[in-house]
Amino acid sequence: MLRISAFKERQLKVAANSEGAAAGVANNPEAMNIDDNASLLLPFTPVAPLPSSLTAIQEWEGYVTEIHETSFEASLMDVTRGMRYETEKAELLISDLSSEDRERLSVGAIFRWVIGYQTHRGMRQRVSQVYFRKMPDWSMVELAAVSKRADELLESLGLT
Amino acid sequence: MTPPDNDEIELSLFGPGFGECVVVHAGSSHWAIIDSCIDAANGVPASLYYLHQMALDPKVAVKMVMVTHWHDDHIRGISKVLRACTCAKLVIPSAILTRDFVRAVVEADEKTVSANSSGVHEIRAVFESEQMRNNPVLAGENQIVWSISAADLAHATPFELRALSPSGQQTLSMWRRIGKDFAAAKGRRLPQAGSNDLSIATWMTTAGEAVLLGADLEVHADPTCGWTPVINLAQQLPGTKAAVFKVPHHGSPTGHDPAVWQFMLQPNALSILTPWTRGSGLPRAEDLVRIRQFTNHAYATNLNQMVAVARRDPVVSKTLRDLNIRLEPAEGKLGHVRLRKKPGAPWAVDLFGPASRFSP
Repeated sequence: MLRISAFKERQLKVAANSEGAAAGVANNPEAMNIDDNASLLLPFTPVAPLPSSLTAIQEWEGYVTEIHETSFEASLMDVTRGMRYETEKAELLISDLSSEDRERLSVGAIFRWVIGYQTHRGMRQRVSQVYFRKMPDWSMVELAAVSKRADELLESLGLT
Repeated sequence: MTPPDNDEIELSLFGPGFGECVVVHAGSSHWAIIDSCIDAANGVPASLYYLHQMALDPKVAVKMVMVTHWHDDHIRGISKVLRACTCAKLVIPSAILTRDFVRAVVEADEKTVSANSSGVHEIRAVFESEQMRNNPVLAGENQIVWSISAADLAHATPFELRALSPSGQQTLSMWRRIGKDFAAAKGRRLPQAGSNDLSIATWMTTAGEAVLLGADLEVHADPTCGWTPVINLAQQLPGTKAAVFKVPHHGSPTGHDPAVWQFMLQPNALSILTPWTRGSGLPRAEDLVRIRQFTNHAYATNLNQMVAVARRDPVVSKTLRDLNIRLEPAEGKLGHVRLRKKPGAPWAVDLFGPASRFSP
């Protein structure tokens, strides 16, 4: 049985409060009756909620694979279709990132890419936005909980 | 899909372009699964779907599951495989069962802010599986990890699977070499460079034949790591030189050691490989040319057939066109190279999906 970490519990609370959160739909090969408990536990959730004025039509979660002078390449997981693995790739422009996100750009960095409509003062505009994940501020309690889970696993493996 | 006869050996290689999996039939319904990859067509581990196609129950049929190393592409879906193969013995590299690595895996899994079922998540699931509590086999250099006596097999020849790596030196130095990758990751996707030499290459002997499965083992400057210690073992290995070779690391030059072909393989060994469709891709054209210099019998699970990019809402498609962003597939179609033989008979090769022969 997979546990939900303290951090991921926090993500779920954020998602519950967020209008813009996407409810991930898990692949579930019922026809083969394969136990797929893992897919039921963790719907896709952002660290920070989307602006309430943004209606997403398409979302990917991606991670950076290569960085060039003016662009970066990424592997993409189609969250809208409920994928759990990367099946696509693309090259995106660094100039399209906010200055904050440019600082977060590094190989392996995880981001969300949303295409949708943003409404502002009654005007509707089609947008494409990339949000890099902010590294969470881990509380001492959360860090201790992670360490405890690691200790429990080590003990069960006889590695204490 | 018909299952093999009880006295028939089978080696099936699956590879979609990200990931690979080997399914072995030792005879008399004794099956083994080595690594795991996902069939993008149904989201199911390729090994389990294949057994399902043959109406075989993995709970009963699969006696051994091996994880050759912890990289994403070799363990995608392994947690599902372990949950399905409840009677299977688990084999993992001895090098990864250390306090430092296990702790780092838990921390990296908890801190990676992603919904992706990553390699770290999967390897944690391996550590947390029931099979880990049931005396797993910790594989290292020149160690028998699975054997079946001739009396238990319809073809009346013994079956043996022997780990050839990682070497003792690699096991000792493992954390020193990959620990900094974990420390630097800090919530990002972990890089996978630098630890292929910790993977388990295996030597299979049965029915008078030997098979060399190269996993992702690479050549290494340090002669105590990579292929060199394996080649040095060659003279101690049972059986003759191998008639079948799973080419390591997707045919890349980093996995190629000509001494393997010279000392461990029969001339024109039947060679099989899986592609790698990320980055600039493997095998490259020059890799295929190189392999063809050593054998006339070379097959790949997929050389160029990708899963089509999904059709999307016209608004999304127009937005991508306006931004001049081209989505490309990162996943290939699942190809399957199947080898079957009975004692005294040659290997029969069958190709499924985009699998093809790339030698004359």
